[in-house]
Amino acid sequence: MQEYFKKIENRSVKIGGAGLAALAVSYFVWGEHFYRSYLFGYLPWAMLTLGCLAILLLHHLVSGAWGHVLQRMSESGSRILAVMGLLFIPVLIGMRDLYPWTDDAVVEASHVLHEKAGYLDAVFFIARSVLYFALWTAMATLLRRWSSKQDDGTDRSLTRRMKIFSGPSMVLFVITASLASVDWMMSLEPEWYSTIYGMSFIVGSVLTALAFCIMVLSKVSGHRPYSDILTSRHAHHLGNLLFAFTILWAYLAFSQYLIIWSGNLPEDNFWYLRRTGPGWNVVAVLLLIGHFFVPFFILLSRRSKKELKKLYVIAGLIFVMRFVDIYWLVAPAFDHESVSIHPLDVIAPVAIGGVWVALFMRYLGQVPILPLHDPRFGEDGFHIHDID
Amino acid sequence: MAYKYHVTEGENVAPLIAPGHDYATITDKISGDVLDRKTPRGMMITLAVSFLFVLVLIGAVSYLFYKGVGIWGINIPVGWGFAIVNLVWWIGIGHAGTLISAILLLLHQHWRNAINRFAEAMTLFAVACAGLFPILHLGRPWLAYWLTPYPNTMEVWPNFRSPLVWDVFAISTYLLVSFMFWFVGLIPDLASMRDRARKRWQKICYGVLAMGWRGSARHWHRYETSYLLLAGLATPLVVSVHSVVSFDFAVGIIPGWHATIFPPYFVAGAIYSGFAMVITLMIPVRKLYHLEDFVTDRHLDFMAKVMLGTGLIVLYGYLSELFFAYYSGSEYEGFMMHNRITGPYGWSYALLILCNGLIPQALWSKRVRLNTLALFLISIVVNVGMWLERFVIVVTSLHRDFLPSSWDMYTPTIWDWATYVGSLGVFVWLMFIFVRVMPMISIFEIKHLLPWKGRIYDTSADAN
Repeated sequence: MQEYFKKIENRSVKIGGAGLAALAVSYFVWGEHFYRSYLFGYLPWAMLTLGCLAILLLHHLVSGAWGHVLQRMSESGSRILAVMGLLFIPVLIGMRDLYPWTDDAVVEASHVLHEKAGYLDAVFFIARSVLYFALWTAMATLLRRWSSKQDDGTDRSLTRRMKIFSGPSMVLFVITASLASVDWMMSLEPEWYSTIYGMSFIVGSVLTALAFCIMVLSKVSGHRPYSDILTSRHAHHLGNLLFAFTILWAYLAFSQYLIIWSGNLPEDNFWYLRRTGPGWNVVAVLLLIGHFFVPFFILLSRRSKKELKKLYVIAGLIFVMRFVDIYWLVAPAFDHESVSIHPLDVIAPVAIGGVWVALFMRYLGQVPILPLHDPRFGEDGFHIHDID
Repeated sequence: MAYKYHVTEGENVAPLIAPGHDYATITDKISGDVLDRKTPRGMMITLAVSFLFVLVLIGAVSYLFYKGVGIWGINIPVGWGFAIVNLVWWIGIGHAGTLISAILLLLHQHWRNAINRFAEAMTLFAVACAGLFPILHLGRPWLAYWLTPYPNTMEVWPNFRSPLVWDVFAISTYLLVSFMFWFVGLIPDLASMRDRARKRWQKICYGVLAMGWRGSARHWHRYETSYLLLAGLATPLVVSVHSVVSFDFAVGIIPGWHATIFPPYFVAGAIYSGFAMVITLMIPVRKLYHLEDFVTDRHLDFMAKVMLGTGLIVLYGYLSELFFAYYSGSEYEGFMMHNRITGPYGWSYALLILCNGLIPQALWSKRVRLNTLALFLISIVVNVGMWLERFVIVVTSLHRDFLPSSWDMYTPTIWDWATYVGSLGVFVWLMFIFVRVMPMISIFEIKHLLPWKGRIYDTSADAN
C-alpha cells in the first residue's frame, strides 16, 4: 500500500508543481482575475481540511467503527492545516481585490457597512484568521501526537484523554469555523447575512471530507490490512453517514432558501437573485440534481451502500459537486451577470489540490494505516469496548 | 453475516441492566407492576393532584368557549401569546420520544430499549396537549376543520403558502405516525399481558389490543419489518415537524423571527427539551416503581449527554442571534436584540440564558450526570428555559416592531396560566394512567440488553 501512496504522491507533486507554476505565471497574465480564482481554488481544499478535523473530533467523541477506519485519513488531512494557513497568505495579500469592505469609500457610502466596520476591519480580519489557524493546528497536532503515542501501546490513558480533549475542542471548532465562513465567504458580499451560513459551511466541509475519505478508502480497500478488516458493514455505515450528511446539506440549503424566498426582503433576497440569474440558474439546478437528488436516490437503496466500489462513484460525484457548490457560493459575488469560467478557475483548484493530495499521501504513508492499541476496537475493527 | 460482539462489563463500565436478571424476572417485574402490584401511594397522590389540574383546564376552556379569546392577554401586536408558546413547547417535548424510538434504533443505540416505550407515550400525550392550543386560539374552534383543504361549496381553500397550514399537515402526520409506532411496538407486550392477566376483563382488554399475537416466527418477522419501516417513516418527522413550526416564525419578516438558522435551531431545542422532560418524569417514576435495575444510572448518563449536546447547539443559536444582530448592520435587528436584553422583558432573556445556556454546562461533569438529584433539578431548569425561549421569541419580537406607534405590552391573564397549568395536568395525568395500565418498559426489547444475551441479531443493520 505504501507504493500506492507513493505513486499518488509523486503524481500529485507533479500536478501541484505544474499548477503552482502556471498559477505564478498567470498572475502576470490575468492579474485582475488572479485573487478571486485563487480564493475559489483555495476554499474547497480548506473545507476538506476542516472537514477532516471535524470528523476526527467527532470520532473521538462517539467512537464508531466507521471513524476507526477513517482515523488515520482524518489525522493526515487535518495535519495539512498548517500548510493551509500558509496558503491563505495570498488571500490576505489580495484582500483589496476580494473584499469590498476593505475600500473605505464603499464603507462610507453604505449605512449597513458603516455599522459593521468594527468587525469587517482588515487588521482584525487578519488577526482572526491567524487565530483560527493557530487553534485548529493545535487541535490537530495534539490529537495526532497522542494517537501516534498510543500506537506504542504503553500508555492506556491516551484514548480517554483524546475523548475528553475533543469535547471542548468541538465547541471551539464550531464557533471558529462559523466565524471563518463569515469572514472568508459571506463578507464577499458584505451587506448580506444569513444566520444558518456557518452551519452550512461546517456540514459542507464534513461532507467534502467524508466523500474524499470514502474514495481513498475504496481505493486502498484491496490492500492489507484493510482487506482483512473491512466488511460490508463498514461500507454500510459510511454510506449511511454520507447519506445523512447529503440530506443535512440539502436541509440547511433548503431552509435558507425557503426563509429568504418567502420573506422576499430586499436586504437579503438579492443574494439568491444573483445566484439564479441567467447562467447561474443552470448551476443552481445542477446542484439540486447532482448534489442532492442523484446521491439521495442512489444512497436510499441498501445495495449501493454495501460495497465500497459503488460508494466510490457516489462519493466522487459528491466531491465534484462540492466544488460546484462552492463556485456557486463564491463566484457570483464578483460577476453575477453571466457564468464565465475563467481558465484560472480551473488552474487554481488543481494547483492547490495537487499540493494537498501530495501532502495527504505523504502523511498517510508515515503512520500505521490503522490506529494500534486502541482499546475501543478489536482486531476486526469493530466496536467492542466502551470507555467512560 | 456473523461477527463478534462482546458486551463487556468490565473495568469501569456499568451494565445496562442490573445483574441477576433473566427473561422470567424481567417479564415478572414489568408486567407484575401493572397486573399484580397495588397502586403505589405516590402514584395515587400524583393522579389526584394532576386530575385537579385537568379540572382547571376544563374550567378555563369552558369559560373561553363562553367568552372568547378576549379573556387571554393577547392583543395587537402580540396576537399569539401563550397559545403559540405552549404549542411549540409541547411539540418540542414530544421530539425526544421519536428521536429515541426511531433515530436511536437506526443508529444501533441499544440502550434506548429501556426508555423508548415511556418516551413514545410521552410524545403522544405531549402532541395531544400541543394540538389543543392552536384550536383554542382560533376563536371559533368549531370551525377548525376549515384548516384542512377539501372541496366545498364556498370554494374556500386555506392559503398553501402559510406555514400555519403546513403545521396542520406536519402535526397531524406526526401524531398519526407516533401513535402507530407506539402501538405496533406495544403489540408483543400486550400479548404477554393478556397471557399473564388473571382477571377476565383484563384478559379481554389486553387480548383485543394484542390483535391475535401468538409470537410465531412469522409474526416476529413481519413485526420487525413493519417496526423498521415505521422507524424510517418517523425519522424525517423528528426534523420536519419542528422545522415547520420554526417556519411559523421565520417566514414572518419581523426582526428576531426572520432568521435562517431557525429550523435546525428549533429542532435541536425540541430534542433538548424532550430529553429534559424524559429525565424529569423518568427519575420519579423509576423511584416509585423501583426500576433502577432497568433504567440504570448509565441510561441517565446517556440522556444527560444528549441533553448537553443539543443544549450546546441551542446555545450556538443564541450566540449566532447575538452576533448577527450586530453583523446585520440593520437598526431593526440591532434594536430587537437591545430590547430583548434591556427592554421590559429583559428578565425573561436573562433567565433564559441562565436556564438553557449556563446551568446545563454542569453536565460536562460526570459526577453531576450521575447524581440523580442534580440531574433531576437541571432537567427541570431546562424545561423552564425552553418554555422561556419560546416566550422570548414570541413576545419580545412582536411587542415592539418597526413602528413605535404600534408597540404594546403583553401580560398573560389568569386564564392563560390556567390553560397552561391545566395542560400540564392533562399531560401528567395521562402519563401516570399509561404507567398504571401498560408495561412502561418494553418487555421484549429490554431483554436484548441482558449481558449474556450476547450479540443481538440486528435487523436494523440490514434494513436501512
